[in-house]
Amino acid sequence: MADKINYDSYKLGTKDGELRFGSITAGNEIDSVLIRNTMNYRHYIEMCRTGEDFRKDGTILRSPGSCVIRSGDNVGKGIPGVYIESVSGDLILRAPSGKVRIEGVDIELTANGYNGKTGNVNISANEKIILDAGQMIDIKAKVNVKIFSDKTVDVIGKSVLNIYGAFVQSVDAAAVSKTSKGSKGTVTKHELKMRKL
Amino acid sequence: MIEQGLFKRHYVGKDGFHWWIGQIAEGRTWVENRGGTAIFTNEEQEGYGERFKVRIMGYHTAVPSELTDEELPWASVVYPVTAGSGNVFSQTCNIKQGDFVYGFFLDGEDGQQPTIMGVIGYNEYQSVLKNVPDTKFVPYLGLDASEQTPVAALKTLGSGGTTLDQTGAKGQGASVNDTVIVSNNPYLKDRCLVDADTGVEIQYQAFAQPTSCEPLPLGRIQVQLRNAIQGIEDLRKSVYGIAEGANEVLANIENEINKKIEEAARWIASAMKWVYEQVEKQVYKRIETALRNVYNLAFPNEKGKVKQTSDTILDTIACFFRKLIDKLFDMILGFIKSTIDKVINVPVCFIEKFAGNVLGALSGIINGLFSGIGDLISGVVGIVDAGLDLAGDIIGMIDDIFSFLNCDDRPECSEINEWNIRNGASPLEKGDITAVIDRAKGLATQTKQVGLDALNNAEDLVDFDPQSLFDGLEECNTDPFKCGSPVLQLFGDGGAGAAGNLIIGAAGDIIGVDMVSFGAGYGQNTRARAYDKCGNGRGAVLKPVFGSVPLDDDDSPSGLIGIDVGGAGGNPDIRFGPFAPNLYPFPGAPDRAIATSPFNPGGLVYDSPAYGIGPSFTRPPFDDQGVSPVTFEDTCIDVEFEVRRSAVQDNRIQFRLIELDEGEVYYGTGEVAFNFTGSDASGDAFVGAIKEIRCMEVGKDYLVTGYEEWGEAVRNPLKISNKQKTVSLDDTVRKSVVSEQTVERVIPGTAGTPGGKATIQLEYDGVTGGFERDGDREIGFKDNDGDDRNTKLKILAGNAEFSQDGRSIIGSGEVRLELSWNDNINTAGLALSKVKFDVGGRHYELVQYDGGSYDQESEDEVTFFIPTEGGTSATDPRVVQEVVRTETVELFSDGDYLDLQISIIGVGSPPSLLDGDDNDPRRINRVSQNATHATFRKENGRVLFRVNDPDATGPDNGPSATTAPAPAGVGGPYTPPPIVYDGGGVGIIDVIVIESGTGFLPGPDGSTGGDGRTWAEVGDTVVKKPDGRWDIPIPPGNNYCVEAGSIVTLPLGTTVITTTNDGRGGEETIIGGSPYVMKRAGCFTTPELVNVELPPGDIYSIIMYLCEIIVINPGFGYTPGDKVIIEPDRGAVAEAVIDRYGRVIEVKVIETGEGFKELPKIYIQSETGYNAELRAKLCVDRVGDKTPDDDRIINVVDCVGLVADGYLDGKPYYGPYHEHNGRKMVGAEHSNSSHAFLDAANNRDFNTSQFIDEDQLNTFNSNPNVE
Repeated sequence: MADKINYDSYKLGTKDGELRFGSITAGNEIDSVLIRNTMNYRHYIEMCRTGEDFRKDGTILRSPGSCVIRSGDNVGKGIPGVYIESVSGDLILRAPSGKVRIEGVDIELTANGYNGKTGNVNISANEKIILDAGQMIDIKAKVNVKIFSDKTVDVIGKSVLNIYGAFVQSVDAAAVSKTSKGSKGTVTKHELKMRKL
Repeated sequence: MIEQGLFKRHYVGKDGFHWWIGQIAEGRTWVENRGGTAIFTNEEQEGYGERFKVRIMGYHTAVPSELTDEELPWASVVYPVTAGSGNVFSQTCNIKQGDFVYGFFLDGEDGQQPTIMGVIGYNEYQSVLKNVPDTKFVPYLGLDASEQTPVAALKTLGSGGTTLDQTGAKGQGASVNDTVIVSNNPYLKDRCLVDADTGVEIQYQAFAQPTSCEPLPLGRIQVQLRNAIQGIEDLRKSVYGIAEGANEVLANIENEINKKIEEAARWIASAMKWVYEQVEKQVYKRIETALRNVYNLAFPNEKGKVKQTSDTILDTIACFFRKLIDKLFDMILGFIKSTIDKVINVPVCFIEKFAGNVLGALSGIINGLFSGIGDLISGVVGIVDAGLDLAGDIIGMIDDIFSFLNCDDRPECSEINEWNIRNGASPLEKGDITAVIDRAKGLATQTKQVGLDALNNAEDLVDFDPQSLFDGLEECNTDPFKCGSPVLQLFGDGGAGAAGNLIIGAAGDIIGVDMVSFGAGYGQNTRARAYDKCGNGRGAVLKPVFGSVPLDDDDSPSGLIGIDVGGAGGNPDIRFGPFAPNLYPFPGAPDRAIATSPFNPGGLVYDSPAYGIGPSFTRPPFDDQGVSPVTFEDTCIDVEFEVRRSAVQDNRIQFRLIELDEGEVYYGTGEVAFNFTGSDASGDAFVGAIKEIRCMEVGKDYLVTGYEEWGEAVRNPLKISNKQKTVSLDDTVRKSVVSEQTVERVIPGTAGTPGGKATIQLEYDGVTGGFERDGDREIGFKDNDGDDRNTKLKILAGNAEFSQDGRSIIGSGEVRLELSWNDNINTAGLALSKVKFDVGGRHYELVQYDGGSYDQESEDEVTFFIPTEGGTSATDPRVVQEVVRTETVELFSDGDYLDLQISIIGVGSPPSLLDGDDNDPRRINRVSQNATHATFRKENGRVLFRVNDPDATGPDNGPSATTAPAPAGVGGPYTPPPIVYDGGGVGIIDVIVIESGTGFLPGPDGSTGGDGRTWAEVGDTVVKKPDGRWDIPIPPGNNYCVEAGSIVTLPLGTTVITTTNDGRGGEETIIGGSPYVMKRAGCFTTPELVNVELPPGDIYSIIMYLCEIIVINPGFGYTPGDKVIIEPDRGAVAEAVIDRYGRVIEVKVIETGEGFKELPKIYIQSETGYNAELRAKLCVDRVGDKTPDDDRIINVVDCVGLVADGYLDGKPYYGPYHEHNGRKMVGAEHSNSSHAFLDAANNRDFNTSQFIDEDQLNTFNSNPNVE
């Protein structure tokens, strides 16, 4: 049972490309169907019949050149022109040496979590995150919104800057309390909060 | 044509069928008929379509000079009915020059209109005319010289094959269907095997994660550097191989190498950028704090300047970091270029040190920056820079940069972060962030003061000393490992501690796993894989089996805390999972994923295995045929005891089966060991008598031992009475006697000035709520309530008082100190545990609580003498009285032997004694109240118990007919019987081989590598240059020249004598198999590999037997009676259990067989059923350390058992050692000669012990070139 055996493999091919059924790979796995560019072993479409759970019954598309999907010329509004679904695992889009560019009339990112640890949209960038809207940017949260920077936060309203709040408090490094009417906060507590940032 | 008209009277075929065999002529003579270009109109068609020139054997001459290819007739082609005839209804033919074809003449005997019917495939026998000059009919590849050879077709023959090389006029080689044989060079054999499952295609990639999940991306840096090294290595090796050479990438190797270096530098720089940003964040934080103080202290008219200056400082620092980050890529690029040839394997230790070096260099600049900022601030507001509190190590501040992961509601992080499109997931190293920080701290000692202007202008500040990046990297082992057996990796969902040896079959496949440790803390997404560090093996699929393991400190193999599980259906035996009960169990479905017998008899769960036995210890002994029926019934008999005692105490009488020695495996069903006590019998304390039934092995001796309630064996021997039916214990009473004695101690006086005082430092242990000074002579301590002084420390007498901070006593002469408390240990904890101090050369302690008994309200007091320093105080010698307490324990016994009595009152099991429980496993069908068959006796001072079979005759009738015979042929240590741990943690109790894979090495073969690839083949010569760079391994037969200081490793068993290198050196003998340091320059031809058996390393021998058959797919349509086929069976027999739906729900192993060396193929022979998929589970019997001459034996490399004694120069050391002054040193004994210390630190090449490499041992043991 060491080396897999398949006496029923079938192949069609020329010097440029080939189609194989039931071929055995160098990794000792069986492909149900393999379509490949015979001039470049990194260019193929492979339907795998054996292997670990992710590979068995899986499909691998590999191309050193661009892999282009263009479709949906005839579908109507609201109908998916391209539909990609990962039924139970993660969906990973990766461009380690390039950009991930998403363009559309509208772009919707929705995270539907089922507990306190899921339902997050986590955007990390080790340089800048730029939100540039033609009209408005709304940032809403049911509980809390924080904007903080280790260096500088500038809030600029070139025409009007409005800050509303039932209780408004501003504290600067001079540690002088400038509480609004009705505020019960103390400078000390806010200083601690600043230190934690 | 005339003949045709005159004599041909019938249609084609009736005049005879004239068939022939021929060869397609060179393509140049016919290829234009096929067009070859895209055409859009009929006018563009150059030829007549698919027709060929063919040289027909026996009809045309084989000598081309007599009949050229151009003169040959045209042959048309016939197609199958599935191909159509042309245009859109067509297939193209696939005929190339050199093909042998057969056909017939359309014009019969005229022979001028050949038609091709078919193609004859190539095979090696067609080369019969290979060496005949000036002849045709020699096979050759149909490609023209101007065409590229398809990479997919590249293959080589082994050394025993026949090479069909280029013999056609323009051919490039020969084709045997899909095998193009381009060389018979054995070295090229492996390097020609090209498809997507080889080469860089199987390199892993690391996914980027949010910073909250990956505080410092050490693992990602490791993967990228590893991939870069291996990618470049492949490019450099391509000069020896053809696989890459045929690909399109090698137009310019140097360009490709640079491209890979830049690619790796980009990835690593992006990861290191995060480190910079964390430092920048801490710098802002530190400066912001300082500037806030300045702003607060500044006069109102200065605050504007302070704000302006602050902006300037922060902006300048931001620009400074921009410059640093801009330089980062070039710095990493330089590092990789300098490293790439020196590193074969990339351990995480290497990455940690590199990251630490970068961080340390950066912190040195930042520390200088802080020094310069003070000047700027003081110039604005006139505050001395010391007030800014900017001094200090930036690294010290960023200790907490990795500690922001404490929020409970952090998003879930992905478990799989290293991936390959063909091999799937792999465990990504996380590295040790603490090690990075510690290294950075160690390096950040040099501080160069930097002013802000200098920071803004001096470009050289952002250039690190390149050499500093390499500091300490040599401590990590980056050399190639010897290739050998794969190791088991378990990863993906927590857990640690599980380990096992993979068992490699004769065909290089994995046929089993010998578990050594179960570990704990694993989750249901834990994955198992066979990791071959040299990438030899492939295709194995392993699946972990989960089981409940103990978690308490005494029983847990590693002390780890796991998760509580209910198991599938609430069963603690969770097997493959799921961990949670099925919400909608399918009716009639088996309650577990796989069968439980005999692999797990009784559905019980195992304790952690003794070394090497694994979970297969339950195998019953063999019969004469080497086959054992699986049964555990009726090896014991019920004995009814009366337990009587006169007091409630925890003393006990223990029964233990004494035949259960170390190294013996127990197969019976009787109880192995149990105790009779009074305090916990029947769940309640009692005084009087109760009856208990125990199922005990027949004809076997139990050792009966009495124990005192404090655990020691009884002092008075057990007493046997009542005609050997009763054994009695006599309690011993332990009494403590405390005696006090007052002694006097003389304290020497000191000279000095009267009135001087000394300071005694006090040390408080266990302070919970803080303390306050209540006057000069009292300290009050609070507990967690913090509302009152629960404990007080008072100076009762003497010339002394407490310091202002309460942490010392200042005084002289004799002082009386008291610690008093009123403190409930169960309310808000204790205020204090103890006060400790040293004075006059003595150590004193006042203890409130020290872990033993505790008085809620009490005091402790001490009197001591404070000698003052010379010149400040003069004291005379003093005599101090001290009370010394001595506690002794005296033992008393009343000798009545009534404290605990055990009497035999019956043998056999009347139903009434078992409460009518027909399912009690101890039940046997013998009804006897006759106790004569069970007795106590004394033998050599020991009390023994034995019960004999009441159905047999004679007092010592030996084992019952149903008792399993003593185990035979099954060695190994004893493993305790299964124990159920409800709700325990989850360990990996076994690993099932779903796919056995192929190509795994059973042991070292002489090749080297690591990080998932073979770097040097077994026959390669390896050279490390004097500057530390490795040359690519050199195949045999190549001339190679080295300089003095180079380290050369030839293949084992070979020897070369060097010649001169450009007139220098030479005449030096190099012995193969181990590194040799060249004393002189020289040249040599790399030797051919010789057949030498390598040392096997640390192995042990096993025999495999079939212990279980796992149902992967239950199939459908099966009927009872369908036969289970096992190929090869090796004596194993099994039968299938079919459910009412015709599915195979279980396959029972009736006979286990033995001596399996491959995973047998198992299927069900059925006339009605389909598609059941079964897998064999082979279990392990150890047969001792020596390898007997037995074809059933498999030798297993012990990858788990090896544990490094320590680390020598950053590498594991397995040799002899001794301890000197508390440290391990090389060598078995200490001597005056210099010998190295062993470092306890691990280089963390891998996290778990199973990856300790046996090759290290071989290196130390078998290197003739190193003394």
